[in-house]
Amino acid sequence: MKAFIDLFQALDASNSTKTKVNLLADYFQRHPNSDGLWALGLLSGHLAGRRFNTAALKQLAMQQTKLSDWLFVECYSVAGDLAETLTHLFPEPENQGIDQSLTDWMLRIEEHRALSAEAQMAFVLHAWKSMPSIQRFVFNKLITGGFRVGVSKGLLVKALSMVTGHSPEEIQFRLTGKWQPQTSTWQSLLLDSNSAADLSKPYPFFLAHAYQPEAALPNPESWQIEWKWDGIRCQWVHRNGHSFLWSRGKELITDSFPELTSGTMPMEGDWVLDGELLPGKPWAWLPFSELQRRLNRKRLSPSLLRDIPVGFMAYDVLEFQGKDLRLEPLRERRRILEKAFRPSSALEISPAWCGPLELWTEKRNQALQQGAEGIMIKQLDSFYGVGRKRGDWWKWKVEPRSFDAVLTYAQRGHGNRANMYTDFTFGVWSNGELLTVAKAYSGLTANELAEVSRFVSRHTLDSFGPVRRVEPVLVFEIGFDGIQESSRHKSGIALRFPRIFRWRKDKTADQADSLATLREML
Amino acid sequence: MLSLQPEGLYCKIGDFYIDPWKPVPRAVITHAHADHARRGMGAYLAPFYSKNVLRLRLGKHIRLETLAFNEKYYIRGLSVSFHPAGHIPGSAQIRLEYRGEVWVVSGDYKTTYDGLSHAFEPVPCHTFITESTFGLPLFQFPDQQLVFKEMETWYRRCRQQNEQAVVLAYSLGKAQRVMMGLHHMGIPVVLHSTVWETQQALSQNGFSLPKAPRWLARQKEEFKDAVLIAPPGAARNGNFLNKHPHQLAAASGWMHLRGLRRRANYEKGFVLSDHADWNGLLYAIRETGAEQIWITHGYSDALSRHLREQGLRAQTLETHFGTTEDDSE
Repeated sequence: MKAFIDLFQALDASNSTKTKVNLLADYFQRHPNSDGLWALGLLSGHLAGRRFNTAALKQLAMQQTKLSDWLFVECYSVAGDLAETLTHLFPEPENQGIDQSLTDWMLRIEEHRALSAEAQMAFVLHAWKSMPSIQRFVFNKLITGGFRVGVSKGLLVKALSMVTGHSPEEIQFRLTGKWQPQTSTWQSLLLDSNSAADLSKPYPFFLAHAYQPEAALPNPESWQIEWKWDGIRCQWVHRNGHSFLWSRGKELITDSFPELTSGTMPMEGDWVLDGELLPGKPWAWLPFSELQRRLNRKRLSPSLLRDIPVGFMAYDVLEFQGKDLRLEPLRERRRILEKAFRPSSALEISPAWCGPLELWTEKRNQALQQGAEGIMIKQLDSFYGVGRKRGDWWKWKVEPRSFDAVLTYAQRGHGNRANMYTDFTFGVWSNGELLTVAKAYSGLTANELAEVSRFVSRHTLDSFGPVRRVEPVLVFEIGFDGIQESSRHKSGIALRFPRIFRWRKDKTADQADSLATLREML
Repeated sequence: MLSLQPEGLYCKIGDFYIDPWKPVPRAVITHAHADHARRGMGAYLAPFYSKNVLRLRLGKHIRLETLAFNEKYYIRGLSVSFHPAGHIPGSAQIRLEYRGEVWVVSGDYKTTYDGLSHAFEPVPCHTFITESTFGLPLFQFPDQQLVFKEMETWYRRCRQQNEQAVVLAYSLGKAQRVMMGLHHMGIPVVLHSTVWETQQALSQNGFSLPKAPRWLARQKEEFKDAVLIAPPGAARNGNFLNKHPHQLAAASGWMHLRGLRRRANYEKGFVLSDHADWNGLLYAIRETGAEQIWITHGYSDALSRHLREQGLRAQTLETHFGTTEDDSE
């Protein structure tokens, strides 16, 4: 396992994506075998997950170290990570065990999952007592799941693409599905020819630039206006009877949205649509955060499918009857989109308008009621470009709005930001009490974060595990993009993308806004 | 014997304060770090081996008296003496005795020998006031020899990549410890000016430290083979390494935690602590034989609760120690 531990440590110590890709490529180059597959599966999250009962592991550690529950919990909350906590509570072993390959370790771990709880814990204890701490830490990561070392799927794909010579899209395709290192081989998963991979291929996404009203665009009537939807940008690729959904991050997310690809198709033949996945009925009725709950799930429960229905809002067609349309002008692609594709429960065509600047402003002002975050402005003669080419596509978002709220709870960050307060809860006034309206994680400078952290540690009223209720003293301006009624929240409202605009040191808590002010923004 | 006042820990019998955080007429000082030795006191009493550094940090003209370790100073029937704390060069615990009752204030300490500071000695007492910087079982530090081995490997790699190896270590204590460790492995060092000045003061105070040059940006090419030792603040504020290819490593007990190591954004973190770890704290407390334990800065609540569960009389004491940035672990 030494090579994998070295890889883990090097990845952990690096902040450069380039270095990380090289480290990964180097590892895969040297281990084009089941070790490579396990490493890939663990780092991508595909095979991550709890191997043994976490409560039993905690119990074992407490029993062995004779620590009280509360002291264990305190350690856990400071380390911010169970695997690390379990690692540090044991001393370095006198003699180190013999090194085995990653595959050997994983197979032994998998083998023990089928055995009794006693056998599992005996196995774990033996491992803890014979491993030096860095190895013990990686082992604990293997059995507790969650291998976060700042390696995104994108980096893995890039590294594998370097090693195999396949395009990143093809690697993405090959990695989806239910492969297992015990039954697959490096050769079959990554090297053997795979014709289906070609079928799934998406086009590079064309991206828009932010529109500046002062830099007026010529001839407003030659532009098409659409809603700028607030969902997951997505290409729906349909070829040879098979459908594939690709997110803008080039991730294949087909399995997360079975209701789109399992029903009647909106059109026969081979085609590719560009659009946005939106949650709720009518669409865009649910907040974006709900849509995210549909992603990266091992299993989609029926209730999740029922509570968060999803549809595809199409605004462009890139391939039709097997023909690449990207060099056709937008007006022609739009004509095909409207004529050929049948709206259904899974698909809708995003409305579009042409008109003077007044219309642009009018539509932009209506965007929030539509569940959109602004408007898109696209040149009617433009073709579908690559990347973020300037000039033909613009986005014009609604101005963010803001209010002043009081810091009520703070929580320590995890992993990278353990030991510092980074997750904050904010309240506004309602009948003399502070009602929670937003949680925000970003927007403060490192110095401000340190200052707030110090405040939190000195002004805690109550602690609930890692969460602290603090004296309601500090006021922050909270910005947000959208606001909706919500029955899930006690305050009755849900904010889209709340973030901290600035620390209002000039204000006292009683000068913060009230819920009534927020409701006026609905 | 001692009570907590707004100015600091106060001894009424002797009418003096121990490591006070506000100006008082008489201060008895455990060691020269900024959270323990502050400016503005009428007179200072401190361990002999901290004399020159105290003058360097607090000013040449402070009223300062020093005592050798174990030497007793009598005031109104009370005896005051300093005993090695092993924290940094010249650091001490303070022992107070009055009519047969003994109290010991630990200041900061570590129970392992670092090769430079006078080694920690447990001092039997009735009441022990101890720090608790690393007072959780999470903190069980590796042997420093292992850490220096790791540092050597890292240094060789920096050399191969033609990058300046920079170790960030606070200037009084950690910097000299890192320097001694590297020196024993035959690795040359160069010192950032703050560290260099502290080095001079310690040498004049009787510590035998190897000679090392002072870092000058315009001569940086000459120092490429050496490890540059600089205080953490230098890396934050200055651009003293501007465009000079380098790798930053931190030497601190906090580097034990992955989250902190990653957040600090250093290329490398070495677990080198000048404070006792969990086992060190428990050892020290046990060895004093104290019936009453007061616990200051660190994970004080956790440590005192743990001690109470072991049947000891332990309580947390809210002090202002461990609050200044420059010397913090």
